Amino acid sequence: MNNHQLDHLPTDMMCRRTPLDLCECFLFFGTTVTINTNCASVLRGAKEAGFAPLLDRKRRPGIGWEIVGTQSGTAPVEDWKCKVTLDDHTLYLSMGSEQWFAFDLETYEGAGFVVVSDPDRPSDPNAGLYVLALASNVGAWLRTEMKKSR
Amino acid sequence: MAGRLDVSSVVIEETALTLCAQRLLFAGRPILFRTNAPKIARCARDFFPKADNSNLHSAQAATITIYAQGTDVSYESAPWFRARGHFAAGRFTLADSFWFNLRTREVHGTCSLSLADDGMRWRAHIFPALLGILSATIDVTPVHAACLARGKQGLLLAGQSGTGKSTLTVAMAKRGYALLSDGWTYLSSAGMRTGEADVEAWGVPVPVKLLPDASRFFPELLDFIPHKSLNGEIAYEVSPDECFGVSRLQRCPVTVVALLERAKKQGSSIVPISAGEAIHQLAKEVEPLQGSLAPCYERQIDLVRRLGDVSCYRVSFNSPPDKVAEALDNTLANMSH
Repeated sequence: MNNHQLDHLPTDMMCRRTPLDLCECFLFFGTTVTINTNCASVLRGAKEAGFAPLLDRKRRPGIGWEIVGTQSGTAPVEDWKCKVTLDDHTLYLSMGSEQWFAFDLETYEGAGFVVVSDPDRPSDPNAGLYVLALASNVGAWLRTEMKKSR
Repeated sequence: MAGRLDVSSVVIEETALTLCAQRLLFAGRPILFRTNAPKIARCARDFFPKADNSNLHSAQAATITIYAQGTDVSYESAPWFRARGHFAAGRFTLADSFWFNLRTREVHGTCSLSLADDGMRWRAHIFPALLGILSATIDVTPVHAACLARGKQGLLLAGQSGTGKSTLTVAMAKRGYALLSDGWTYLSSAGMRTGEADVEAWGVPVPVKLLPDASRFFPELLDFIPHKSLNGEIAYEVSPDECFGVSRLQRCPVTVVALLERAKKQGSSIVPISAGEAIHQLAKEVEPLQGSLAPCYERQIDLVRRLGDVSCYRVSFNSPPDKVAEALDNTLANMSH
C-alpha cells in the first residue's frame, strides 16, 4: 500500500488487490522468474510444466509474475483453448472467458488470472493446464529470443 | 474441468489498421486511435475531440487499437474486467476482448462485426471503460462526480450512488448550466496543455443515466424505455441534449466542489466546508494502484489535492431536484457576486 492513509478503499472491482501470499523462484528458459500467487496448485503446476525451482532464496530476481486464482463467478470452467494475441510489446493469452495471462516482451513481467475450484487445494487440473499453456507459449517466445541472441 | 493446448494465434496486421488511424484527445491528452472498422472510427471521432495542432506535435499519451473480425455473432454476457500488475483485460460480450499494457499505455481490442456496428454501446460503455482503466497512466484522474459549468464557474457534484447526483445534475442543466458529466468526470492538469496550473474537468459525451423513478421529476423520460446498464441496474440512459434540450460542454476549470448527501428531514441545506474535506472525499474514491503503477496513483492524488483553492459546500437534501437546484444556483450566484 502507498503512503496515503485512507479510511476507506474503493471496491476492488478488478481484483487488483487480491493478496498473493505464496511465492517461489524458478529458472525458466534461462530466465529467473518469481511467481507470486494465492494458489498452491499454481506453484505445483509450474513445477510440472518445466519450471525449475531455485532453492537459493537470496536470489530474488526483478522479474515477477503474479497469478491470481479465483473461483468462477458463473459456471465451472469448461473446455477451453488458448488464444494467443501478440502485439509489439505484449503477448496475451486468453484461456476461456475468465482466464488470461499477459507477458511483457520487454520487461518479461507477467500477470494473469486462473479459475480454481479451491485456492487452498495443492493441486487443481485446470490450474495445471493453465500453467502448461503459459509455459508453452511464453517458452516458445523465450526460445526464439534465445536463438536470436546467439 | 479440462483445457486444451490448441493455439489459435492473432497477430495484428499493422497495415490493415493505418487506414483508420486518427489523433484524438481524451481529457486533454492526445491518443492515437487505430481501427480497421470504419464504424468504430466514426464513433470515436464523434466521441473524442480531435487533437488540434498544438497536440499534434506532442507524443501521444496512449494508443488504442481495435480490430473487428471474424464472427458476426455477439455472444452476450455480463461485462467482465480483471487487472493485475501493469496489465488488465476485459470483455463486454463473449466475442470480444480488450487487453491493456499500462506500462506502454497501449490498449489492444478485438471484437465481432456486430459489436463494431453497435455505436450506442461504444459511446455508453466501451469507450468510458477503456478510458477509466487507462486514465492513471496518462495523468488523468477520474472522479465519481457530476460536472456542470456556467460562465467561469465549474461545479463538481460528488456523492455516492443513490444520493440523487444525476437528477440534481439534470435539474441544474435545465436551469442553464452546461453539462459535462453526470457520473464520472476526468480531471487533468491544464498546465500540461496551456502552461497554467489549474485543474481542468473534462466530460465525455456519454448518455445521462437516471433510475426509473426519475420520471416523476422529468416526464420527458416517459418517451424512453429503461434498460439494463453496464453495472446491471435498470435505468434510463438518454442523451441529455436530445431528451432535455440542455447544452453540453467538453471542459471547464474546477471552481466549486459540492458534496451531496441524502438528508433524513425534508428540505435542503447548503453549508460551506473546508477544501480538505472535499479533497478527502474525492481522493478516497480513486482506485489505489500498487507496484509499478504506484507513482501514477500518487500523481492522481496530487492532482486532486490541487483543488485546495476552490470553494466547497456540503449539500444535504431530501426534496425534489428542482428545489435543490434552485437553492444551489442561488448559493453559487451569491458566491460569484
